[in-house]
Amino acid sequence: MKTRIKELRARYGMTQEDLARKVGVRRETILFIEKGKYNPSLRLAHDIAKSLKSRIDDVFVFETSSAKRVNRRH
Amino acid sequence: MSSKKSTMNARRIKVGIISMAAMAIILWLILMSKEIMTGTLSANFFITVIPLIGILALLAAFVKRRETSLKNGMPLTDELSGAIDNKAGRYTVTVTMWFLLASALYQMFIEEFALPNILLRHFIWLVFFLMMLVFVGFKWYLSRKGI
Repeated sequence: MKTRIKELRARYGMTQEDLARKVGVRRETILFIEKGKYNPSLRLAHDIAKSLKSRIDDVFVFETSSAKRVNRRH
Repeated sequence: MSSKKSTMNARRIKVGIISMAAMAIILWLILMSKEIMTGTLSANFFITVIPLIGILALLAAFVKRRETSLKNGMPLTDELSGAIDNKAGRYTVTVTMWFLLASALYQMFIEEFALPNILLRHFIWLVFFLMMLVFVGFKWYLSRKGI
């Protein structure tokens, strides 16, 4: 899973720390999510998207190969 | 979480850590009481001092880190730190179980191979130290690698 958090943060002039404070997590959590080392819970993903004034699927982008696997199953 | 609640939680954690440190020292003194009272200090006595100092240093570093987080207005724990603690805890239990199994096998063959015997009170400290070391190690590793 890739994220556009860094790009959206830059748009609104937010640091990782600002975003972390807004959503109530540690800065390291935002860093890990940006690097793709941690998948946030639905609640946290929603809070991040809300803070960045975007939709969840605009902030978190799933890989094309995973989407293909899901489509093949259905 | 409000800052007042966060401060109260931080205070509770600090009191808890100080209590743990005091308990560790008291337990160590009780386990080593025989050796301390008779004045016959074996090599194992000094070996058990090292884990005690290590444990106290870790607890002090933990308190300092928590106070820094609080000062910066960051939460003490969040979902990532909780997930890391859970995973590190599971790995620690697994490693400790294997170590205890190996220790049981060692005990079985002590007489047969004339292996050195380890006193129970020293073994307890060894297991305690191993668990702390493994937990901290895995926590450090998962904090770098991610989960």
